Amino acid sequence: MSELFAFGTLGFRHITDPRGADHILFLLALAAIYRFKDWRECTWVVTAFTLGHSVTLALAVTGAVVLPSRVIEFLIPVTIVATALENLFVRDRSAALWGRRYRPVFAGVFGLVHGAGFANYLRSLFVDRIAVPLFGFNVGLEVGQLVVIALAFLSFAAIDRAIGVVVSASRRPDLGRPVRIRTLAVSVVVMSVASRWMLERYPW
Amino acid sequence: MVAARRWAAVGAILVLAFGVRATVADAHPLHTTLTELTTLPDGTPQLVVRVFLDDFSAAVTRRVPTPGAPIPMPADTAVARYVGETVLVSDGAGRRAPLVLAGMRRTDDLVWVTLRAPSVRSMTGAHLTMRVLFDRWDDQVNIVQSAVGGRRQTLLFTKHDASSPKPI
Repeated sequence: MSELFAFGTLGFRHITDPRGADHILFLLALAAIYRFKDWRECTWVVTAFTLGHSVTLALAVTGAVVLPSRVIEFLIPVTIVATALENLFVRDRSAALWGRRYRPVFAGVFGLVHGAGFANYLRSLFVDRIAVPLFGFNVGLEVGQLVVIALAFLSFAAIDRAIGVVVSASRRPDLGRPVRIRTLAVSVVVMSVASRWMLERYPW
Repeated sequence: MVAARRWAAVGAILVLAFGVRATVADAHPLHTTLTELTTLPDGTPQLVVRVFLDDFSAAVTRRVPTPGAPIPMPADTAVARYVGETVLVSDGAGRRAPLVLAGMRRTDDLVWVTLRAPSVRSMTGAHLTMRVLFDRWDDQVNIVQSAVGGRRQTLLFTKHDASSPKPI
């Protein structure tokens, strides 16, 4: 196995491991507002997240910046809660600041925080040759994220269909559109879990 | 409307229950070791294993360190016993080669464990099994970078394939 592929595998496993839910929850929060037809926009947002965490990962691993891990561990659930809150409160993104383009920007900024999460660990382990492992790890993370998003879209489609059936059967159109109901439900669940982490990891 | 509120209440209760069940253990660390496998000038294979002290100490001593307390280096005899159980090198004939603990040092929170297999003189047909910390973490991944006979390769060992030796 080549070094690049090996570290790509490591990144893929890391992001898709359901036992470590923080990145998966963040991706779910990011994807919660989209339908399958929005896949291009969602891919941009996820790629912006990858770019963000690649930047911090590279800076931290090479020693250009040193980040306090306790603060970073606290900030990771903060980014998840903030994303979920944005899902809950912004109904019309076309009327929001920068239209729909602001989401990739904040995904990139939040990616900076997530990248710092495992930077300290990688820096300790890879004290010498880092370029290929780091690049491979990031490629693996990106592929893993796209797989998580694809699975989320499949689940969301099924959930939307089920909600649509329930709403139609209830003859209550005022209950709202299935996408909006699903967005609210996913965001509230994600926010609930991340809020707990936020309290537990409070560093001061 | 009453039914909708009821469903909302049930949903809120479920959400709270789910949130409360989440623990700090759900943080997302990478459980990895990095090993460099080379041969000495006389052909003896040498492995230098980099492993985080907290996990390694807990695995070797079978005691989880107290959070915040300083973690001492585990004793050589305990380390030799542990790596003897978890790092396996076999020669071309399939015979298991005894490993010798050749050194151990610490840099910050990392331990560097140097192992040698003096009974092996040729790496042709040799195999390696690396099960370090599989007893501690289900998602442990052990990376081995080998540079033997001018050939470089990277091996990944996971708990899933823990019993399969890999050709070096």
